[in-house]
Amino acid sequence: MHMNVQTSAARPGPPLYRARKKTSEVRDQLEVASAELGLTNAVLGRNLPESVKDSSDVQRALSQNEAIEEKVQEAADELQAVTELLAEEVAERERLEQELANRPPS
Amino acid sequence: MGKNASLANGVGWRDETSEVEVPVKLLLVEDLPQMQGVVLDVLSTVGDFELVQAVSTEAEANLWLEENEGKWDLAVIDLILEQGTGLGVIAKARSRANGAKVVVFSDYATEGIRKHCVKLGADAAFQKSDDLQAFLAFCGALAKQHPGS
Repeated sequence: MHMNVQTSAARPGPPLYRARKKTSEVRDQLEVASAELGLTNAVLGRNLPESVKDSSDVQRALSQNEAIEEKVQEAADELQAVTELLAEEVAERERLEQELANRPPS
Repeated sequence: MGKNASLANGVGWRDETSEVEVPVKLLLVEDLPQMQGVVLDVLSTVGDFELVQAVSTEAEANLWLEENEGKWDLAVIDLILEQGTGLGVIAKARSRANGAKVVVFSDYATEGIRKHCVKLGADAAFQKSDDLQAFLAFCGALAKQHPGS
């Protein structure tokens, strides 16, 4: 039993590490996506003729696009918080593993 | 030339005694060939820049960055490209920068877009129409910190 614990402790927990890496990657992608939505809005805002922009449907679409940009940005920020929590969890796990490794056999 | 040059804000020049002029190695991400020429022309007025690569799509830029780590000192990135956007390039360039500078130079570098750019890792973002002088000042300062200057 003890041997199993030691073996497990000597290896980093792959799912936790993978989760941290994955959330970080997804956060980066969301950050870019939010920026690209902002860029799309800027391009449309500048290049659409006023007559087109005056259309209520187009106005709604532009507003909706802005709202989506904000939502994606919020999701990216929240995922950043998750990444930080996972990093704390990884650090705590490593600390416990170290403690366990240093403990004299009973 | 270059006798007193020192490591410039992490821009990767380390030979303080070099007498050899080493230009700022430039990666230019810009879809319009004409604009590529304009950027090179205006940069040549403020320092010694060597174009190491010009690309017109996000995919090309990201591939080049992956394969050429450490081979550039300054990336000038437009936002609207032939394929993709410069926004994805900023993040990739930042992750491979090793002290090099990442600058956005675009018609669409509005206040909101600038914030995005900086968040993604750009050192600065300039609007082509309004910020040319600031862009040149930034790049000129970079070139002046160069050992060959």
